[in-house]
Amino acid sequence: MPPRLALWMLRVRLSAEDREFAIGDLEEEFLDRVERDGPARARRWYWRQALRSLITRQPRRNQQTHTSPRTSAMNHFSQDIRFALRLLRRSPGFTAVVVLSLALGIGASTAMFTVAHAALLKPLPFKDSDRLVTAMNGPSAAEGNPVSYPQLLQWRDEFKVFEAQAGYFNSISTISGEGDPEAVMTIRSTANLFSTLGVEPLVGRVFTQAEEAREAEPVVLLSESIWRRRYNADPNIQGRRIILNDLRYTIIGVLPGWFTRLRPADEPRDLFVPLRVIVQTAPASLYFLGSVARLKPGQTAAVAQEQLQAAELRANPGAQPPPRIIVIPLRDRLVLNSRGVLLTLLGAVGFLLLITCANLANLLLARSMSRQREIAVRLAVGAGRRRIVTQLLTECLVLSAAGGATGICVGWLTVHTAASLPVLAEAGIYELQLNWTVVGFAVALSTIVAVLFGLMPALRAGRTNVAIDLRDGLRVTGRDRLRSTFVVAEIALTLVLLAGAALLGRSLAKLVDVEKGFSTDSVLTFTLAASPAKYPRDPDQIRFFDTVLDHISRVPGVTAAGVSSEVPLSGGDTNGAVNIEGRTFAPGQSPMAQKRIVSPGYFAALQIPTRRGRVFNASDNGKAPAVMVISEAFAKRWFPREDPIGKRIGFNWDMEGFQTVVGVVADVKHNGLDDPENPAVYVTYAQRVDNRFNVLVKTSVPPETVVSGIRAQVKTIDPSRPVSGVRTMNALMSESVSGRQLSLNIVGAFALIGLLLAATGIYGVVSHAAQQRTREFGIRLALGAESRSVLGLVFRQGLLLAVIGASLGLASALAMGGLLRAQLFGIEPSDPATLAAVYTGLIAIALLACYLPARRAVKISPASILHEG
Amino acid sequence: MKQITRAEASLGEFEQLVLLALVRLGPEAYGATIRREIEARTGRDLAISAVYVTLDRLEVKGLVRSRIGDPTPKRGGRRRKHVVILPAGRRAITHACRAFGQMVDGLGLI
Repeated sequence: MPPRLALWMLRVRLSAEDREFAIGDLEEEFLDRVERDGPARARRWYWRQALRSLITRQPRRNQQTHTSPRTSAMNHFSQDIRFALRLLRRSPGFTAVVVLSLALGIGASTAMFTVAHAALLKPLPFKDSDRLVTAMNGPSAAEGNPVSYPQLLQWRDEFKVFEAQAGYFNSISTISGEGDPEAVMTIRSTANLFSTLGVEPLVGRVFTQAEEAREAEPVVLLSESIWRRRYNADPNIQGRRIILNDLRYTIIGVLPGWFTRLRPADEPRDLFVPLRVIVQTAPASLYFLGSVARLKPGQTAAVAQEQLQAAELRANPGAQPPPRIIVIPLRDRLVLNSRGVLLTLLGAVGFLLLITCANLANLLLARSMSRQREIAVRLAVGAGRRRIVTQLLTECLVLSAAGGATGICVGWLTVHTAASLPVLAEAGIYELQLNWTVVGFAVALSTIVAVLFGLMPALRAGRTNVAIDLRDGLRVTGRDRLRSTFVVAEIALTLVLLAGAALLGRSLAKLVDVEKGFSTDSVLTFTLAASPAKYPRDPDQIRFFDTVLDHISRVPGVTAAGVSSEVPLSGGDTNGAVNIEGRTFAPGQSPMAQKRIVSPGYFAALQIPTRRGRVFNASDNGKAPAVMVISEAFAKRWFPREDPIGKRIGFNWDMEGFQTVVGVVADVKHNGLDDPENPAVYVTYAQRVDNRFNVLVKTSVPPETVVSGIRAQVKTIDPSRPVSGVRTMNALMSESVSGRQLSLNIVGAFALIGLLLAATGIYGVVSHAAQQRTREFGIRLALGAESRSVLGLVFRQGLLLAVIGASLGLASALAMGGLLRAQLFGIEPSDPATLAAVYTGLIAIALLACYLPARRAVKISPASILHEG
Repeated sequence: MKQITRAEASLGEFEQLVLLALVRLGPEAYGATIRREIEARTGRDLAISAVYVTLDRLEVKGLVRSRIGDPTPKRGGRRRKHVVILPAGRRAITHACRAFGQMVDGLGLI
C-alpha cells in the first residue's frame, strides 16, 4: 500500500477531475516499483510524487465552474511555499544564519533539557519507584553515612511505614576454577533486596530469607552480562557451581540486564550474594550498609525520617551531637551530586535559547525593513492584506520549520553522543531518549518568535500610509529602537554566559593546581587479592604481598611500589572512629578519621610528603611495637598544642590496643580535588594485614609500559590471581574533574555561540543605522568634517549599546552568582578581576563588530552623495 | 497545408514533450505511461500532477482528446484516462519540430 499520508496529500492537492486517474496511475506504478525496487524505495518515490504535487502550479480556471475553496486555499499555499523557498534561496546568507542559529538554539536546549530531565525527573526503572527511599546516618543528605546492621534490623522489624527494607554493600569477588581467574564487582545484600526493589529474575529465582543466614549453603545470582559472557547464556545455568574467593557457590538465577547497580556512581555489578552476616560479626559500630526501603502506599519519606529519628534518639539518650537520620527518596540520592552541574547547564541552555530568540527577532526585523517597500508596492497595485499576511506567515513557517528540523537533528546527535559520557552514568541516567515535549516547546517558542517578528512588515503595512512607504522607503526609528533593545538583551545574556564560563574555567584551573598532598604523575594502580585458600593465615598474606612488591620493584622502570587499602580519587573511602589513649569521649563524639592500611612504599609511590617524624619501614613488622602515621589535619584537630609523635591511638578494626604515632604526613585530597582537609590515620599492612589491596607503582617511564611486566611477575607468584582495575593516577584525576570539565565546555561553547550572535546583532544594527545616515555623513564630510569624527559617530552608537548591554549583564551576573557558587572552587562568583575582564572583553568585541560599518561610513565619497541628492 | 492556429503555434516545452510522448505511445497513452515515457527518455524526474495539468491544458487548446477507460484492480478499482492526439495536435508538434530543426540545422549542436 502506498503511504497513507502521501495519498491524502495527493487527494487534497489534485484537481477533482484528474484525481481518480492520477492516483490510479501512481498506484499502478507504485506496485511496479515495489516489485522492481522493493517497498522502501517505492514508498520514497511515492512520497516524492506527493510532495512535488504540492508545488506543481495549478492552471487558472474559471472561478465559478471549477475551483472549490479548498483547492483555492491550497493553490495559494503552494504558491506561497514556492515563493518563500525562492526568496530564501535568493538570500542564502540570511537563510543560513537564521536556520543555523535556530538549529544551535533548539538543538542545544533540547539535548540539555533531555539530559537534565532524565536525571532530575524521570522515574527509576524500578517498580513504583516513587515509593523507594534510602535511609542514612546524618549529618545531611549530601554527607549521608552508611547504616549499621543492627540499625537495619531494628528499622525493618519495628517500623510500619516501610513495606520492606533492605541493606547491601559493594565488594569484589575473585572467580577461580574453570576459565580465567577474574575479579568481579559484587553486591552483598539482605535476601529481600530484590523484592524491595521489585526486580524479577530473568532465569531461576532470587534469595530466600534462609539463605541470608551464615550457616546456609552459599548461593549466587548472576548479572545478565556475565551470564552471557562467561556462561554463553546457558539456559540451564541454575544449579551450576562457581568458585568465589575459594568458596563454592551454587548459581540460583540470572538478573535482568538493566539491573546492575543501585547507586549510579558504582561500577556495574556482576554477582549478587546474600549478606551472610550476623549481629556478632557486624557490630553496632560498623556502619557499612547502604539501605533501600519501600514505603507503604501513602507514606512519605518525611514521616519515615521522623519515626526513625525519634527511635534513634530514644536508643542514644544524651548523645552529643544528637544522632541524625536522613530519609530521602532514592531518586534524590542518586542525583544529589550531579544536580548542581545539571542545573548550571540547564541555566546556560535557557540563556542560549533566549539569545537565539533575540537574535532571530533581530534578523527578522532587519529583513522586514527591506521588505517594506515591496509590500507597499503590492498593496498599491491592489493585493489583499490577508493575502500578504498569509504569504509572510508562510515564509516564517518555512524558515522556522527548516531551523526546527535542523535543530532536532542537532539535538538528536547531541543526545546520542552524550549518552556515552560517564558523567551521565554518575547522574543515574540509565537510558537517554530525546524528549519530544521539549523539542516541541523549543520549536514552538522559536516559531512564535519567527511569526511575531516576521509578520511585522504586514502588520505595519496595515497601519501606515502606503504612499509614504512608496515614496521614502521607510522611516524606521521605532523599529530601530526595538532592534537595539534586542541587541542590548543579547549582549546582556552573553555577558552572563561569558562570566559563568570564565568563573568555571578559573575554578577548574585552581582545582587542578591545588595542593593535593600527593603526586599523580607516572603512577599506576591496580587491585590484587591473595587467595584465602593458599594464604590462609595473616603471615601468609603478608608474605604474598611482600613477594609481589619485591617482584614488581624489580620490573625495569619501576622506582617505588606500595599497597594501600584505598586509592585517592578512585571513589572508595573508609571512615571510622578511633580512640586516643588517656582521653574519653561521649558516645558519637569519638574522633573520626579516614582509615588506611598501607605498606611503607605507599608514601614513596604517591610522593606524600612527611611533615614530622618518619613513615613506616621494613622493621615495623608483626614482632615490632605497633605503630601509626597520622595526617596533618588529624594532628591539628586532636593535638593542637602538643607534639603528636609518641602519642598512642587505637585504630580499632581488628587491631588490639593502641598504636604509637611515629610520623605526620601531608593531608591527601582523597575524595576529589575539592575535598576539605581530612583527618586520616595509617597503619602498616605488616601489622594489620588484609587479603586484598590496591597496588601503587611509581615509574620512571610512561606507566602504561610496565603493565605487561607486572602481570608477568604476578603470574610467577600465583597464576590464579587476576591483576584487575589497572589505571593511571592521572586518568583517575581527570575523571574526578570530568563533571566540572563538562560544565565548563558546555557553558563555554554556549558563551561563544552567544558572543557570535551578539556580535552579528550589533553589527547589523550599527551598519543599518550607518547606512541610513549615509547622506548626513556625506554632507558632514563635504562640509569639512574629519573622517575621524564620522568614525566616532558610528562607534558611539555601538559603544552605547555595548555598555548598556554589558552593564545589565554584569548586574544579572552579580545577582545570579549565588546559583553558581556550589560549582566554583577557590573563587567568588563576584570575583572582580574575572568580571572586569569579561566586561571589557565583551565591549571590545562589540566595538570590533562596529569597525566595518564605521570604515564604510568614512569611505563615502561626498561628491557622489551630493550628486544623488 | 492547413493554417496553424495560435493555440497550435504556442506550445510550451513541456507540452511538446507530452505531445511527442502521445505520438510514440499511440493507443497505449495514459497518465502513467506518458510520465514514464518522458522520464525514461529525458531522464527528468516528473510529477504525475504536472502531466495531468499539461494534458488538461492541451485538451482545452483542442490538441488532444481523452477517453475514460474501465476500472482495473491494479489501480485500486480506479479508471484510466486514455489520451489520443488530435490532428491539430499532430500539426502543432510537427510545426514545432520543424521550426526547431530549422533553427538547429547546421549548428553542429546535436
